[in-house]
Amino acid sequence: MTLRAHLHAITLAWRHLTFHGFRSCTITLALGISIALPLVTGSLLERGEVATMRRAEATPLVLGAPGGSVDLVLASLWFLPEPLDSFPIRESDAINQSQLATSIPLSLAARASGHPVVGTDVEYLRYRERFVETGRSFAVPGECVLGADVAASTGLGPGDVILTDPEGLLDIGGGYPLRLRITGVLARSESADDAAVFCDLRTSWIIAGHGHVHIEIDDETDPHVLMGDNDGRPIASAAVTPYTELTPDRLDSLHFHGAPSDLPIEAIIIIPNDEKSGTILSARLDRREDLLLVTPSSVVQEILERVFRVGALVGGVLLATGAATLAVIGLVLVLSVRLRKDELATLRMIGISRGTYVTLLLSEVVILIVFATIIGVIAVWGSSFLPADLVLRLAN
Amino acid sequence: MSDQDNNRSSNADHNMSDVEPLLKASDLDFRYPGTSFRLRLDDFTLETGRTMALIGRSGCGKSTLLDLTCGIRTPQNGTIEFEGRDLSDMGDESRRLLRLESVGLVFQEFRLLDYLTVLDSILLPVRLAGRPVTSEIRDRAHELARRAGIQGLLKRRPQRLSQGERQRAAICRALIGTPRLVLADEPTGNLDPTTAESVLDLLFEEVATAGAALLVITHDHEILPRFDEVFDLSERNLAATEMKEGAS
Repeated sequence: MTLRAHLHAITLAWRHLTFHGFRSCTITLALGISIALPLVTGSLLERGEVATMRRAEATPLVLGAPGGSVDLVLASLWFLPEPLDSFPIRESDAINQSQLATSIPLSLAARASGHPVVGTDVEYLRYRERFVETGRSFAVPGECVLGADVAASTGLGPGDVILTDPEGLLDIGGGYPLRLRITGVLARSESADDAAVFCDLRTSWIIAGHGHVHIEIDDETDPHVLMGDNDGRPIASAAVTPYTELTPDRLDSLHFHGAPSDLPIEAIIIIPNDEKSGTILSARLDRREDLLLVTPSSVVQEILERVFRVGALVGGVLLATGAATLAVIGLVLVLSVRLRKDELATLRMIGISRGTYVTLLLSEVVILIVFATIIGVIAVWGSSFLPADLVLRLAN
Repeated sequence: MSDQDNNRSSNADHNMSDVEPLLKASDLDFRYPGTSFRLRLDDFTLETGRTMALIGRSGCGKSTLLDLTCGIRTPQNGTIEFEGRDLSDMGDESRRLLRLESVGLVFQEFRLLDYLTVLDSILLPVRLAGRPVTSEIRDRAHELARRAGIQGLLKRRPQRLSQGERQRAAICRALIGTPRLVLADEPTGNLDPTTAESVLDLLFEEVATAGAALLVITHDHEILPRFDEVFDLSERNLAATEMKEGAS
């Protein structure tokens, strides 16, 4: 009998909350946000720390041009658009020839539809254990594979094309964007590789204008492409496509300017054969003033310490905000009880027991907290779909 | 002799009969702490099946007496017996149960909960008592609503009811537990004369059908002839009489 009275009190509480739906939803939402924010922040920081350190520890050494070590690591591991100077590809060849390590060159300057275009060789995908889920890997200049997130966000796949972003929109003398043929999509890896486009180093050099193909303008098959003739030099009309595409017939005319060993790259991932090889190579490269050798795990540790110091501060602020919100909600509930004094007096006069009365009031609070917690849990669950390295990206 | 005197005489006649009184107060003395208000009654009796109007000036203690008769408040001295059981000897819990099971309350301001439908309002005392809402109880609620003329409004909330419909719903709520005593504090105070008349008709009919006693606070002397008895608290409150005599 008593239990049933308590159950009825819970029903009454539920009816009251649903009747005052707007008020209940507002309190639940405010409470939910207060619960969710610290949890989501904590979860993101924790996942971010784990994912960031995992990638850093999986990358023994990174070589770049002199500059900021943080910029070099963020650009070469997470492909963030850091301003990096370039250095010649021959440094990569030299490392390989030393037989102390494997070198994976990276060209990081280009972007396509806002996504980083990473010029490298297939060794990078093998080293990171990235597999082409659909299609095949890139093989010749002009081909690329998409990270899983890029494919999902653009809706593109094998057989489609993606246009690189022009370097300078106002540079009318600049090279045309390159139309990349997509040959495959990588399996999701929950890493920065999901958000990048990978292509051959030669493709990157063409995008950067270090190499090009010649496009034959055929005025017999397409009479609109020629506007006129200027002392024997054809003047192309606007009908000429405003981009370059490396079709098989054009690849024969592909050539690069300057010596192949001088072509630029922005970073090299170095994978020493063993600890001793790594030490020898580090000793050699550390002496070089024209190069910067970094150990990503050390740099990332330093970054994380900064990020998590800020994170702890943010957490403290969120907790304080949460406490203030809870205090306001508590006040609202107390005021609500006062406003309901006639209703509660009626219940007392009719004969509600003290216990049932307490159940009625408490169950309203508990129902609000339960729903707010559900919002918090959903928010935490939803945040698990955010990239694990989001904190690092935001911090940058 | 005035009509009121006649009614009081009628009350006295009944006290002398063999009928067991439903309510009996003796040497009652109640004060609100920190105030000069005092209610003193040497004798007050209401028998099962009888109807009584409780009249008197504002502030003379009518609502307090109503609270005392159903155990919401307890006197500092004296006894109030409900079917022979002294309410002062009962604990809060026993008085609460007695109120839930044996007393129906009707208020001037109806006091319906705005978030409950008419049907849920009628069933509220059953739920607060922790009793299951069986099909019999549901049928009774529908039957009460039908007799009150609000059977078509059972799914409505109070905001969508007229004043008269609200009071009818409140009367159904008071009667759902088949109480032996119905207490009404100015049940027609907020109603227009026509609606008041029909609500009183309903109250009298239902109380008669249930065989319950009815104690009604009212300021409307037009309706006094409808009651078996009239109890004028201004005259019967010994504390007020003593104060008046002291002043003169």
